Order: sequence, then C-alpha cells, then structure tokens
Amino acid sequence: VDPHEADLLAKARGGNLFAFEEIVKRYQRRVYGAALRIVRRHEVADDVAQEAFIRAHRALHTFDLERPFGPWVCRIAANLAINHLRSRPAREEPLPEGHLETPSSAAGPLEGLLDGEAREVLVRALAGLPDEQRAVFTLRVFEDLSYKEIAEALAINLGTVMSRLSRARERLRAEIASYLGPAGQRAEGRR
Amino acid sequence: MSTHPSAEQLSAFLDQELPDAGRLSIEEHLRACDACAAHLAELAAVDEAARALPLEEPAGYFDDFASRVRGRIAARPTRRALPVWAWAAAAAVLLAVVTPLAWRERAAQSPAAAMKAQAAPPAAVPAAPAASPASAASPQAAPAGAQETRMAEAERSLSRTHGGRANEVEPHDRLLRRDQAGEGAPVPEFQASQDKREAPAQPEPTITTPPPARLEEKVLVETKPFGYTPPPPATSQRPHGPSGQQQAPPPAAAPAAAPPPADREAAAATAEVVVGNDQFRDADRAKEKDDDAARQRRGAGGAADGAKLGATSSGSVLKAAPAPAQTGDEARRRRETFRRMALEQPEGPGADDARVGTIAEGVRAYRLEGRADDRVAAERDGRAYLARPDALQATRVRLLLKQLSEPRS
Repeated sequence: VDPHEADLLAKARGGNLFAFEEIVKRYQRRVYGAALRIVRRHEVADDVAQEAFIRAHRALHTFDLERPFGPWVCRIAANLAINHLRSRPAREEPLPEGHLETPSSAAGPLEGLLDGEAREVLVRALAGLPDEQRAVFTLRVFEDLSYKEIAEALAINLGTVMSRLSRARERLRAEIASYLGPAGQRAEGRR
Repeated sequence: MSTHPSAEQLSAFLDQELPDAGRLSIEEHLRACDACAAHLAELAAVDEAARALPLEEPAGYFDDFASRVRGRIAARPTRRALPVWAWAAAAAVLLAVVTPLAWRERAAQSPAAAMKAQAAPPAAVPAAPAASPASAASPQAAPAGAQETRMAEAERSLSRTHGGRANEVEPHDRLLRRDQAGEGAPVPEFQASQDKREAPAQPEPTITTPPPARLEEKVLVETKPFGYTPPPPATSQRPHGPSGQQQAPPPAAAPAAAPPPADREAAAATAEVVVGNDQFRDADRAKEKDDDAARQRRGAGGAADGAKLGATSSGSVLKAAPAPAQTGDEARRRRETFRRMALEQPEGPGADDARVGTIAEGVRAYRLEGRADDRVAAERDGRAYLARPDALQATRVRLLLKQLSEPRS
C-alpha cells in the first residue's frame, strides 16, 4: 500500500475531509467506471460513485489501512450499482443505447485487435448482458477482483460468480465470434 | 486425451481461480486439444477487447467530483450527535402530538379562549435544534379551533398585499416571514431561485422561525417552491452537484474510534454492502436504513409526520417513509412536512433531503391520483430545486420529474 495513501486515509479517518478528498481524486475514475459499466447511465453512475465514497468514508474507521482502498470502494460501488438495477424504477426504465463506451481514438495496446464495427458489436453485447452477469464481468475484468471478493461484494456464492462470469464471457464471445479469428490467434500468441 | 473442460472451468482457468489439481489437468488438456486452446484464447480476447473500450464521462465531470463528495460528507450529521438529536426529536414529536390535542380540548371547552389564541405567537412546529429563541419561548401550538380563522385572516392579509388576489394562497415561506414580522407586516418579495442566482447581492432573508401550525393544511396544494440563500460568490456551479459545498468546513472531529482489529475490516465492508442491498432495493425506499441521526434531526424539524418521514443523510437518493404513501392525501401530507422541514432549516444538513422529499412525495401524489395541481406543484418544486447551485440530488430529481410525464399505472 502506498504510504502516502495510508497517511491520507489515516488523516481522513481522523476527520480531515480534505485528505479524504485526495483519496477520492485518486479513485474517482475507477469507481465511476465500475458504476457506469454496470448501470449504463451517467447520471446514475454519478450518484452511485458519490454514494460509494460517502459510505466508504462512513465505514473508514473499520478499514484496515494496510489494505488497498481501491478494491474496497469499488466493491461498495458495484454493490450499490447492482442494487440500483434491482430496484423497480431501474427495471422499468429502458437502457440507453450502447453509447457509453466509445472506441478510443488513441492508439491503445489493442489497437487493431478489433475493428470499429466489431467494437460496436461488443459495446452492444456488453450493454445487452443481464445485469447480474455484467456486474460480475465488470468486477472481474475491469476491476480485477477475485472471485471471493466478487462474491462478497454482490452477496452471492463462489459458484454463482463462476457461472455468471462464464455465461457472460460465452455470450460476448458468441456476439463477436466472427471478428475473433485473428484476435484469438493474437491472444493465443501472447499466452 | 482427457475430457474437455467445461466453459466454466475454462473461464475460471483463465482467471487462475482453479485449485492446483484442476489447473494442472486443464493445462495438460490444452497442450493436446487445439479446440479448447482456441476457445480459451477467444475468452482472453473478449476480456482484452472489453478492457480496450474506454469510458467517456462528460467533459469536466471529474473537475469537482471530489469536492462534491467532500461537501456531501460535510453536510452529513455526525453519529456522535445522535443521542442529542434523538432526545430533541423525541421531545419535538411529543410536543407536536400532545400540544395540539391539548389545545383542541381546551378550544372545545372555551371557543372564546380559542379565538383569543389567534394573537398568540406562532410556534407550533417542534423546535429544531437550531430553532430561534422565539420558537423556544413559544412551544405551544395554535389551537385547532382557531386555525381556520387565522387562515382566513392570512388570506385577507394576502389579498391586501397582492391587490385582491384573494384566491391565491401565499407562498409558504412568505407567510412564515409574515408571521415573524407580525400579521400584515411587509415581507421581502420572493424571488425565483434562478433570479437569485443572477443577483446574489439581494439575498433572500434566511428563515429561522418555525412555521405556525395553522398553515399546515392550507399550503398543501399551492405552495411556493423552496427559496434559498445564495452561496458566497466565486463558487463554481456545475450541473452535477454543489461545488458550493466546498466551503463547508470539515467536522471538528470525526468519529475517532480506535482502529479495530484487522479481521473486522472485511466484515465491516460486507456489512456496508449489505446495507446497500437494502437501501437500493427500491428507489422509492432507497436508503431506508440510513442513519438514525438524520432521521431524528428531520423529525425534530417537522411535525409528527416529520418524525416518521425523515430524510437520509446520505443525500443522493431520498429516504422515504417506511412504506410509500398509499393515497394522494397521505403523499401530500408528507410532501408538506418535507416542505416545512426545508423551509425551517434551509441551510441545515437535512435541507437538501427535505427538498427532494417534497418533490418525491409530490410526484407520488400525482402518480397516485393524477391531479393536475399535484403535477404543477411537483414541476415547480423540481424546477426550483434544479435551479439551486447546492442541489445535491439533481439526478434523482430529474428522474422524479420524468415520472410526471410517464403514463400512470
């Protein structure tokens, strides 16, 4: 754990809100991203991300400063996000088109892995995943949480984590299967 | 060659979540099975392709995100205050329930005495912790029997002030100020929130005196949206929230519990998550289990309903009553209770929740009965709220307002 971060967290726990603000700045993109990938709406993700930090602050006195803060607050955000999706108004409200994630114009490490059309297909496929599967996929693939951490965050058992994640991956794989030939070979080559 | 691993096993293998025996078995299989190896490679490619999709937040979104979070935390009551507020709320509820009953009984026995009570200073609404000395010195409710009489007087006074618009009900906050200054005394003109944002040099007077009980029923339908005291200048205003909260000082001392044993951290985190499970189950009941301090504080600021209604200290989503209102009347009562809370403590820590509560209950009233006046009131309250630079729950309010245009079930 970054000593500076631990120091900030200690100060925050002592009541220094500006120290906690610095912590928020460090993790705001990550937490917002986790929320947005699950709820798919900026305005809801905004609420969820703020609420996650607020709850983390509230429970800061229980937090072990020797442990990384990021996964913890992301778990809180993910839980809030998935519970929002379980709420009646969220279920009744149609999801936006899959435009929240847009292909980056910058050359990334996977530039060329998938062409624009395939990326659009993937975006739509992600948006079309069942909420529970998308939450598990997000926590695993984007947040790199372990199955155990995901299970704790979403209050489900390890077997459910494994099955939901597998189904999500299979569904995404099927959606972009026709584009994955070279990609699969490339991924294979990296292994 | 061994049997093909299942898709779940391949997925778990990819994540290195299999026990050693299973992992070794699959590794051996993959060396001999091109199909499974290709399958695994495709799963890995899916992950990598997904990671390559960047998120795009609105421009400038993160510029003040952290300060907004800090502002919301600063606006929350501390748990340390709970016992004090609990006692205050209990006393307030007792006053709100018992005092009107006592007055009603007395009025029934002596109508003349009840009429005379019109001149008594108003202070029926339970004193909030920050209530003015005047309210503390007048802890009695207006007699129920005199309520209509006083209301009629208020309307006559209003018609004088506004050139005979006798059928209009004066905005609640203006009436409150009138009560502060005495019947018929001139009051500062209410300005729309937007106007005040543009003209901070003319701040609206801060209301510090609780409203008189006699106005409770009359303002149910037609009330003014919440006013607000403009924030100090040089406060950036962003649609996502109140950067104006930046000036809020940190609490003098946050809970300074000794660090618990490390093994409690995971349990605490889980507990936090479980709380979230409950609170987001339904947006109408969102954050229902939020901390009691906020509930007690709001309860102290309102009438009997206020003790039940309360608003969340977490802010982003309204904490509603234990169960959603089932009738339009019930929703309207709750709406006006929230409105009183917001007006009594316009800058208090629960004011934002109270304002959102007003809107939420107004929307619910409309959704329940479809009355046009409920819709108009909710739209007006919502617009006024969204015009505030310190609106902490703009997102939720927009969603609430959206419900006004959705077909009623």
